[in-house]
Amino acid sequence: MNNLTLTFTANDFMLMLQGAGITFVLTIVSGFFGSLIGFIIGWGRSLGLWWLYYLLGLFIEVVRSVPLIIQFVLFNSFLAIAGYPIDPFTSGIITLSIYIAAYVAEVVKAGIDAVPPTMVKAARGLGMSYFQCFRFVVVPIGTRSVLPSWTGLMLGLMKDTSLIAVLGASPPELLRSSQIIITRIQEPLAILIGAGAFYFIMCHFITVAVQRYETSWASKGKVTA
Amino acid sequence: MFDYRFQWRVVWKHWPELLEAALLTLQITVLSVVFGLMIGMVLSVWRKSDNKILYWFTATWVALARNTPALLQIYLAFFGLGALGIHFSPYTAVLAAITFNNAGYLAEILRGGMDSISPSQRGAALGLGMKPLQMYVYVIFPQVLKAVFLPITNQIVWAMLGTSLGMIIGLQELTGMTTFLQSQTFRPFEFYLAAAVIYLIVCETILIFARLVAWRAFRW
Repeated sequence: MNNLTLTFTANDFMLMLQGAGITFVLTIVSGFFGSLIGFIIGWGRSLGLWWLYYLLGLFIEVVRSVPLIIQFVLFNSFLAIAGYPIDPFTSGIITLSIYIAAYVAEVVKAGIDAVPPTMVKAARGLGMSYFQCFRFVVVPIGTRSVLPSWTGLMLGLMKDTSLIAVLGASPPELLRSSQIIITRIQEPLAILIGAGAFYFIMCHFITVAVQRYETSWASKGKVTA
Repeated sequence: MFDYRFQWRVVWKHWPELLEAALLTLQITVLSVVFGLMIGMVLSVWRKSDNKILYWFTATWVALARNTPALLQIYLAFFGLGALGIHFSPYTAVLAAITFNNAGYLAEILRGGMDSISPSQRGAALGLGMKPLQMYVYVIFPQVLKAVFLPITNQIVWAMLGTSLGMIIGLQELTGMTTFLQSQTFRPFEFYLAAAVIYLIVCETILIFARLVAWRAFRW
């Protein structure tokens, strides 16, 4: 029962597959919340209030200049000294969301800036309210122009989820589970290449999916002038 | 609720170590960007070449560097290559992995910049009797670097953040040193906060320096 196998078994493969699933879930969850927060921040920066612009800009600058590892540990130990320790997995997801939100905010800002001001004026001149104009003019046009950069961010986020391992979060994501297997079977090169292949396939899969979506979307919404 | 006592004196006491570690971080960042930029330029030129082997070599490099986590690349350089009998020190492993990563991203950035340069520039340079190398050095790359200057500064910051992964394989750059010191003093929050501030300062310094270089170099 308790014999130690020193070769790569089907169970190991399942562990890595599970790890890839965890990586995927981490990406989806923190990508969703991060995009939501980032959208609000980017929108807030486009309002034209100078103090809000610089306040949110400061937040973005700080998050983008401090390594993710430090942010993980800092947030985790902040919760601990504030007296609200939560499990590393959850605090990891929160940190990842805040981290990616800063990048998304820049993309959202670029998307809003990409909409020609004359278009907005035309929409308002047609009697649309601010929110109608935002919802039906700015968002559709802006999204089309920044979708590729947003995809790039989400791919970056997926790769950054591997850092959650420093918190010792369980269940283990892809890279952590490969580490666990390596510790047992001492075959680092093969396992790491395998893990790399997993990442590669997932990245590739997302890129192709978004590209396909993008082309179908672009042709659907094409304006013939 | 909040009865934590901050103790900053212990951080102050270890200030020299932190500063030294920050310099190491800066050193790896600068080296990896310089090497990465050189390799990236070669890759972006090869990407345009008619030679199938060169094309696929660069395409593979760029795809591998961009589609796998930097941490995995560091693991591969440190643990993985050991299986082939190549043993890197943590410093070399981090430098090699971040340079590999940087070169991939920079090649893609430079390729985007090259697409923005009018093809007649190439024709004009060759028509003036320049050799291909001269054409790239004197005509193409000065314009490309100016066009993609902003993405490159972003990439430099990325490289700096990437060096923090050295902590995981035991390199004592800023993050590694911080982890080491906090495990000795049991003051994680103060130390990591101090590290975050130092990273912020290093980052701003790099950006200001890059802007200075650009201002000096791109005002022909």
